Order: sequence, then structure tokens, then C-alpha cells
Amino acid sequence: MRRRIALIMAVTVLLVCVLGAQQSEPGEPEAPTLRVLVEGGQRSSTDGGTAEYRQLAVWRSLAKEFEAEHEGVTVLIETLPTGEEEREIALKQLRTEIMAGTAPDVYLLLVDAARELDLNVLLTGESMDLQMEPLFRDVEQSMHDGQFLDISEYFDNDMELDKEDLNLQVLDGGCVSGARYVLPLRYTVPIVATDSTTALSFGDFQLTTVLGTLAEQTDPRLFSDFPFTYFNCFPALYDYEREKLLFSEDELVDFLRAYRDYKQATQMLELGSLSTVLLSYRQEGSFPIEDGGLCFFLLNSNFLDTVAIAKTQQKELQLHTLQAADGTVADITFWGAVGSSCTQPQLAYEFLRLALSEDVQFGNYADLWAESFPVRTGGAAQSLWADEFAYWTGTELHSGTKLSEVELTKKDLAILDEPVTRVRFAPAWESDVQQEIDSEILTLQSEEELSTFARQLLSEITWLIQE
Amino acid sequence: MKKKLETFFMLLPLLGGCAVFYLVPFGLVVRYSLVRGSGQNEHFAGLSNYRRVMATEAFRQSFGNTLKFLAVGLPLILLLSYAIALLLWRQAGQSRLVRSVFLLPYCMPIAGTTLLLNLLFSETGLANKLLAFLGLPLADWLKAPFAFWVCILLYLWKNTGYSVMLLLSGLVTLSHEQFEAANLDGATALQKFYYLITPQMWSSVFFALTFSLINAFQCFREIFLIGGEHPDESLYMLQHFLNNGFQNLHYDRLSVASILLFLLIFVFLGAFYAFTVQKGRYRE
Repeated sequence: MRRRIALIMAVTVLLVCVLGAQQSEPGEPEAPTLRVLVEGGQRSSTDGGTAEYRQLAVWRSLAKEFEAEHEGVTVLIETLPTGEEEREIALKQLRTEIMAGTAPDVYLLLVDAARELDLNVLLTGESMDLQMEPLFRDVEQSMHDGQFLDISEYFDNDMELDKEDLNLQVLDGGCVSGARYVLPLRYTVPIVATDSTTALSFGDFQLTTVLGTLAEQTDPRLFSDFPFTYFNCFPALYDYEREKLLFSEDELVDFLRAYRDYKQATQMLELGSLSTVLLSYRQEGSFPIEDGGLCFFLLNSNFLDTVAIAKTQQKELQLHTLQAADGTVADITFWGAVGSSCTQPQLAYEFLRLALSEDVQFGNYADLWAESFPVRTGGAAQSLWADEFAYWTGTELHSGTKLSEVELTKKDLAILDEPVTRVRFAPAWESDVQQEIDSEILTLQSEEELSTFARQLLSEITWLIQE
Repeated sequence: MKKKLETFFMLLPLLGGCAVFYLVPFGLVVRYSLVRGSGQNEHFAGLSNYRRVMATEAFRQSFGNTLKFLAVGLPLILLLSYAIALLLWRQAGQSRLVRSVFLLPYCMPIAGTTLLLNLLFSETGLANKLLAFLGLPLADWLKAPFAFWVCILLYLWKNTGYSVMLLLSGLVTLSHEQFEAANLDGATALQKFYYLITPQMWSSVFFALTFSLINAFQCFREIFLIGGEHPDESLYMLQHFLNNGFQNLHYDRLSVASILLFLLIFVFLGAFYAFTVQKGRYRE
């Protein structure tokens, strides 16, 4: 009797398992749904305020418009949480989904999510000092590893995109072996501002030359806004195709030597910040770029301010890109792609391309992106000045100054049309290596110490890429 | 026939569970190890993934460290637990408290273990305080190559008790008559150990070895909490490679590493099992 009961139970369990695992019969065709993954969510700051990506509102609004235009299509905006634990869980789940081939259809993500959120902080002006792990730690590697779909066909046949207004050199950074996997949406390049005499003495603005000059610079005030992540001034680090490190020990030692000398020189000086200098302009009417001075920027309010100041005072201001050995390198800050498991690539591309539209690149949404150039460079100068800059500082700092009267044009920001030699997506490990360099650099006195440290760094970098 | 069918049906839920939760995922891992890309970009790569992974310095280091950890840890834990089990054997029936105490480290939560390690081996921990007291130079126990030995110590401390219990359960099944006969024949303690105890203990040793191996891999949780994603080179284990590979979306690499690890364990345990079976033939 017992045996029979056990047997019946075993069969029942099996039947339940089999029936449970069986998929429901296909009835009516399901309405297409696009899963779009963006940065989002809220995070409490230390003083009780909250921060969230202001871009989130853009994606929600675009999703509604897209649904209205495409009848029957549902766009699900999924967000990557900003809270540490929630994010870790979400990332694990997404990585499993990618592995299983059930990942989101569209990614619209930031290379450095923490930095952007820091700039988006609401209710508090305090820096939040966040660290947020990206879903794709190395976008370039993910392109090679086949995590995204090739959208060349849709992009090449997209006649409504006004490609002449887009920076195609930067956009091509999302291509591997002729296939377009990623659409870069915003980028940045390190800019050097100076006068013509100084510019002539430099020739091209190579990182090590510039660092050497900075170490001898007489005006210490202009040292402090040295904002570049120096990897974008290195030659290409790694050949993802052949899986080989391209950067030599000698090149790294040259950089480390110059950087050490620069740090030693600046350590001895009492530095003011460029923001203070700019503030003093407003109060005293002085110009931040003194004769022979150099000023460094990524695209930010200070940069636009300086260009505008030069224009109001009719001062000469030369803008150059700080160059790596192989030319100007653009760092992508924000990108989009269609996931490799997307079954409706055409629809996904149609949503993705909205991020290249004027509405998102500038115009209505322009003030949402901080410290980077739009890849839609046509018409960007006016937009950057009128919208982006005005959003950040215009009302507080421009009122009552000549800046409120000035208008920046394409000619003033000709740097936007500078040819770009190489495009890169900074991998997540870079900030750790940079921190390591910063903490060790002043302790490296002899050439032997420099060589040993360079070897150690190269070994670490190779390791991190190969993991 | 009817009985066989009944047995089969009885076993079916268990076999089904094993298939769903072990065999299918294992099959998937084998598949991932042979392809590149994901979703619609997936394409067959064959053994090239294996060649790529084996040429990777990070993999070689992690594999080497894991082997080193096993090569040092397993013999040590077996010897130590065997010795303790033999010492406890005669009192096995009486000293239940002692047996419970042996199992305490095994039950300790990971957070507690990590806290204890930090208390002992951090820069301002007890070990360094002792060194300072003796006038010796201080050591960075958790970062320098010392970290490997700290983790071996942790592994031994945490898991020896469990292995002792496994071996002890084998020892208590040995027949008293055999030892009484040996005593009558005037056998020495060493002779009894060599000719009576050890030949009958191989199955228990195999069992203890299997669990010690599993526990060695579980030790990674503590190692991860101590050193994070990138600990000292001497502590960079295969699980770090797998974990970081997952986070970097290198599914092909982590699948290859898992398969290689599986093969290694399979061969090792298989060889030891064959050895145990051969040693147990005397029973027949």
C-alpha cells in the first residue's frame, strides 16, 4: 500500500514538473515589447537629499512618443539602480540574462555612471563621491565579444538622420571590422586653451611635452584644473582583436617621468582653482589665460565661460586638443546599442536612433548632459552655450556681466570639428590604475623605480583586460 | 520487472532534479565553452576558446594558485584530522562535548570568520602586536605572500573538525575483535595502525578527502572577503578568475575555466577512488 502511495506521489510530482515546464500554446501573436535599459533610480545623499539621473525623464517621454508612433508596441524602460546593493543584484541578474540570451533589447548607458549622477545631484550641491559599477566594464571588449547586434544595415540606410550634422569620426568608434555595434552619443576630448605665441612653441600638444612645460609654468593658478584622464593621451593600449598589449614600457616610463616632474612642481606651488580665477574675472575684469599660460579643460562650464570671456574682452584664445601619440582621442561618455539577443532589431534601432535626434542631443533636452560634446556637432555651439551652460551657471553667474550678452557660434567652438583620430570607451579598471599612479608617483625617484613601476602597471593592465 | 519499474519511478524525481539542476547547466557550460558571442551573435569557436584561456596569464596564475592551495591544504588537513581522529577514537563514546567543539569553527558564519582574521592578522592585529612585543619587524599578513599561508591556516582551522568527525565515524565501525586478536599476537601500535586500521579506513579517507576538497573551494568566500576581486597575487584563485570573468561578461572564458577545473577534480577524485577500490579488494 505504502509503495503504491509513494509511486502515485512520484508520478504526480513528475507530471506537475512536466506540465509546469510546458510552454503555453501560442494563441494570438504577442504585441512587440522593447526592453530599454538606462541608468536610473534614486539614491539618498548624506545630507538627506536625493539624486537621480535627470535623463530618466527623457527616456520615459521618448518611450511614450515612440509607443504613440508605433501602434501596438510597448517600450519598457528598465533602470539600473544606483543603490549599491540593489545595483549589485540587478547587475548579476542582467549578466545572467545576457548569458542566457534574454537580455534587454536596447542599452542607453553611461561610461562613468557615478560621475554623471554626481553632476545630476538634486537638492544638494555636495559631491556624493559615488562608485557605481557599469554593466559593461569594457564596452570595446564587449563589442569584440559579440554582446551587441550589428546595426550597420539600419544605420547606413537611415536617410532621415542628417548624418552631415553628426561627427561621423566619433560615431565610427562604435564599429569593429566594418560592423556597427555601438552608437556613441556624447564624447569628450581634453582641450588646451592658450595664446598663439605659446601654441607655436608647443607645435602639437603632446601630453609629455605639455606636462614638461606645465612644470616650468610661471602662473600656478592655471595648473589646478587639469582634468583629463591621462589614458586618453596614451597611445592605444590594447589590440582586442589579437589580444595583445600595444603600449610599451618605454612609453609608460616617459609619461610617468613627465607626470612625476609635473606633480613635484605643482606640489610646491600654492594653487588656486580655475573657478576662483573665473570668479575674479567677474569681479575684477581680469582674463584667466595670462600671456604664456596654458589652461586645461574637458567640456564644462569653465571652458565655455573662458571662450565667452575671451570673446567679450576680444582676447586671443587658441583652443587645441591634447594629443596622444596617434592624434586626438575622443572619450565616449554616453552610448547606445542593440543587445545581441534582440529579436526585433529594426524596431530597437528605431528607438535607439532617437538618441541622435536634435531633441535629445540638444534643444529641448540639451541641459541634461554635462561635460561632454554631443555627437551631433552641427548646431551644437549655440545650443551648448544657450541651453547647457545657461542651465548650470547662467542665472547665477552671468547676470549683470557681459556674458549674458554674448553668443557663441560654430566659429568660436571650431574645436568641435577637429578631426578625431581614435575613439575610446574608458574601461572600468582605468580609474583604479589612475589612482594607483597618483598615489605612487611622487615616491618614484630613480629611473629604475620608474621602470619597475611601469612594468608592474603593464602587467596589471594586461591582467585586468584578460580576466 | 515490476519491482525494477517501481524503483525507477521512485528514483525518477531525484534523477529529474539532478538533470534539471546539474546536468542541464553542466551541458550549457560545455556549450558556452565552445562558442563565442551571445544571443544572435553566438558562433561556434571550438577548442580555440580553450587555447585562448590557457594562454592567459590570469588563468594560469589562478589555476596554479588553486592547485597549490589544494596540494598544500588537502594533505595537511587529512594528516591533521586523521591524527586527531585516532587520538579521539578511544574516547569517542565519552567525549561528546569535545566532538561538538571540533565542529564549532565549521559552523561559524563567514562574516565572523573574516572579523576574526582581521582581528588577528590586520596591520594592527594581534599577530603584529605580538611581533612588535618581541621586537620583530611587522608583517602585512593579508596582502603579502603571507596571505596564502594565513588562508591555509584558516582552511585548516575551519574544516579540520569536520574531517575529524568523518574519519572518526569510520574508526568507530572497526571491529574490536580484530584488535583484541592483534593484541594477543603481540602487535605493536604501529603494526596495528599499518595493517589493521589504515586498510579499512580508505573509504572514510576518500569520503573525508571529497568533503575537504569541497570545503577548500568554499574557503574562497573568506578569501574574497579578505582580498576582494584582486587580492595579493598568491591568493588569486580560480574562483576569482571565474567571478571576474562573469562580471566582465567573458562567459566563454569562465566556462572553459569551469570545465578545466571539473576535469581536474574528476581525474583527481577518480584516481583516488580507483586507489581506494583497489585497496578495498582485500575484503573480497
